[in-house]
Amino acid sequence: MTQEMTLNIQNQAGVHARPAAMLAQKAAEFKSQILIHKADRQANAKSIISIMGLGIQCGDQVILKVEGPDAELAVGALSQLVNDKFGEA
Amino acid sequence: MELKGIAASAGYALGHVCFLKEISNDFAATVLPEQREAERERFLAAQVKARLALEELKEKAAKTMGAHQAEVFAAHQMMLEDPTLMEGIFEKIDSASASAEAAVSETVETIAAMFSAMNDDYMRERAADIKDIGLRLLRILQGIEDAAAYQGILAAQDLLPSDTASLDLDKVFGFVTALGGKTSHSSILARAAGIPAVVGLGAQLAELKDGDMLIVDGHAGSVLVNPAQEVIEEYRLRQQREKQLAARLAEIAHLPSVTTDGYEVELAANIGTPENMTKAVAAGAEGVGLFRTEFLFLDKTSVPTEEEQYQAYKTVLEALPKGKIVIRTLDAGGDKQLSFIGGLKEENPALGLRAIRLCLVYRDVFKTQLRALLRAGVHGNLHIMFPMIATLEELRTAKSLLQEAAAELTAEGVVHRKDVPVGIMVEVPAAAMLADELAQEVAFFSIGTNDLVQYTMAADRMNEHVATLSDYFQPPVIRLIGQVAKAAERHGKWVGMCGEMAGDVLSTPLLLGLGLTELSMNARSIPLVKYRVRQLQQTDAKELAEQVLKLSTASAIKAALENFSTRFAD
Repeated sequence: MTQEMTLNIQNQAGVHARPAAMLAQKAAEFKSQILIHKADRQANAKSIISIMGLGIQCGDQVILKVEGPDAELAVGALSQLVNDKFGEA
Repeated sequence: MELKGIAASAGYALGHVCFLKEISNDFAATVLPEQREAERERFLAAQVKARLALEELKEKAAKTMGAHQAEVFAAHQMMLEDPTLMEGIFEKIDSASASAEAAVSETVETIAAMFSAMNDDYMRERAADIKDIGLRLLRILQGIEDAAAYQGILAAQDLLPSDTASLDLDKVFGFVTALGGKTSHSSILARAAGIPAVVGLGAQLAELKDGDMLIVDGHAGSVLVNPAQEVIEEYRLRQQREKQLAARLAEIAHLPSVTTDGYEVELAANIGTPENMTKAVAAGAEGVGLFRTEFLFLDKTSVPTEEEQYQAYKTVLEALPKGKIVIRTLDAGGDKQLSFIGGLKEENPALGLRAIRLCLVYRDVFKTQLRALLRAGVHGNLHIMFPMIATLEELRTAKSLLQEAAAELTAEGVVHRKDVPVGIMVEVPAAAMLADELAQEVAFFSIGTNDLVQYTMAADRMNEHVATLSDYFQPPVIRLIGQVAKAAERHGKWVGMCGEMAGDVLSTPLLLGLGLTELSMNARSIPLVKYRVRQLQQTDAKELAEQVLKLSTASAIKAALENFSTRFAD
């Protein structure tokens, strides 16, 4: 199963170390392959290094592409994290 | 043989040198195809060891260095097991028969280069984290023993934060390094641990052989190699005298700091995190003259919450429930950038939007801090201090925001202190010249000498080329201090000093003579300053100050102070 969702990053500092760690930890809970696309680049959502490498800033739009048995659950959990601004302002 | 370096941490250390084993770069780049499986196994075994070492460091750091350092090691742990790192390493072993060492170092280089190329200071600094992880793995792969096993005087090119965090400081009693300056990581650690250190030896380090007998003179910044027996005796004697003085200082640690003729001076500590309180109390600090709140804000990706700040301030206030605790509001900007505000590009950051100026622009951030302070105020003797005030308007705006914060808390029915004394740091000449007017609207002054010198002499305090100008014994600086003290006295307000000068025992008689009633310094300096205060007579100090105010060069002032202190030679 493949799922795709566009997300807007709204936390002030963008996806720095702490949010990247939260994202990677959450993504690792799922079996599916999870990719984050920003413009023409993509990152493995289970890798904090790879996510940080995208340099996602506040106001950026990213696309989540998830493929695998638990894709729906993964998209739900990850989008919630982003929409909650990672618990930041 | 004598080597000359930079005196990074005072004291004498005598012992045999022991070299920190450096990583070798001449490992095999490739292995035979049939050894690939073995290389993978070697890497995985090293990864397990690194994980355990980081776990230990994390626990140790949480106890001794605070939660922030512990967080750093936790982040390293995560990176260590990151799929991007591991895939990169396995890919190199599998497709190119790379050795585990080569695979680790190439992969780490690629990732570090990616971070270094990013258009963001914060991300660029992450390159250091991944390199630290790489070095840790390489050491383990090369069988280099853990730093905890070192004994004697440690010699190294430089010490990494992760090296120093794992050293056993009961067994290492001196550092000598080729690189580094007074403010490098190893120097700061040496001073904090009270270990003599000489850094910046450069190529001279190569003159040392494993097992050489060394005398590290952390006062003079020199290292004596295999000295004659009588020299060793002489230094043992000096070491002994230093220990005796330390013992005398310990005896008076909890006696009042009062001159022989009854003039009382409050000796307080400068602290940077709540964890520093333990040391401050042990050193005999009667209060805190400067609590820098920046640690809550710097390196943070978001504004610290009111609750987070409240807890930190409360911890400090409760550690010395009767002592006066001066908490300085956020002093950022300039060389201390806030990542959540974003890179502010200024032509002259030291003359730009920093300290109170920044807070008056980012009022939400400031208000949150003021609310947290007022709430914490019920737990102790809180004083609030605004940094870098230059005009009356700034002071009045800051005070009105404090009133707004208090009114909000009252409206919300939140418990808070209503009568917190408010003071300012005097660190720009403008404030010193306006001291009479400012004194009427504050409860106290605290003179911040580091910046006051920088702005009075127009000399960047970090710029070594103008180091002779960056001197608190320059006459204009001394005169401004005298002027501020007089203004405070006229209006019945107390005046203190925080900054390097307050902890310099040579200046103690002068500062007392000028009429300062509080000196706030690094906790380590308190015992010696107290010792001096207790030897002094205030009337003599006053005479000295009058004489010094008439002198017109820094060298004449220093000479007068040195001459005065010879009478206390012990």
